[in-house]
Amino acid sequence: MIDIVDQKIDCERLLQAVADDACGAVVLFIGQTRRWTGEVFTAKLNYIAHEAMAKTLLEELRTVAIERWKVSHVAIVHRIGEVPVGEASVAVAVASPHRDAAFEAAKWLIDTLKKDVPIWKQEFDADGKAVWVHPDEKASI
Amino acid sequence: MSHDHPIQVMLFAGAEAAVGKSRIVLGLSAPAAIEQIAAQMLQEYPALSGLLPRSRFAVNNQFVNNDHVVKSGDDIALIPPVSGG
Repeated sequence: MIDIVDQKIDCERLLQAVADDACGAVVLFIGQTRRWTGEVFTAKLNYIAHEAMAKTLLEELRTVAIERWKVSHVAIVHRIGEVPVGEASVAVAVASPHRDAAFEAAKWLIDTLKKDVPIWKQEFDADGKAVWVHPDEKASI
Repeated sequence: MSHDHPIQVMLFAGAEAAVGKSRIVLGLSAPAAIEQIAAQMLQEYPALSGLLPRSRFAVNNQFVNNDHVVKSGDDIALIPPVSGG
């Protein structure tokens, strides 16, 4: 299951999408908005996407993950629009017979999503000032 | 000869904010290489000079290299460094 939503991410839905009694392991990664980045206070985030391309790429990532780690199911949901601090902006669920593959695939999926999927966040500070985040390739987040 | 089809590029995030538009129409027609399109964008929209060199291009929802030649009707998007997740 691949989806881009503009409301709270439903983790139950993700888990249902990967449910399979042949799988002994389910890994669920949730990326959520942090309050502080160094000394910078975040009041909220706003996400936008080039939706058609983002969905296409997320589908490709899912296909690659299944092929490469032989996991059984992958579900990815990204939220767009305003995301309050502490709420999930992305969730990745992977189910496989055994856990090693599920952990590795889930890590690769979120790492690759953060590098390549056309989604951008805008950070709002306490005064309502907003800045689009465009990280340097070499910078570590 | 067919009519000119000026190339349009979709802008997002910081690029859209810099230019003030989500879509720009260039004084350049297809076919054209991404390299040419980028140069044309910088010329017409110098506000993109900060982000463009750090950005990738996508044509019809797939990333492309600078030597990719765009055809009439292709959807082109400037993809600045992403920050999803």
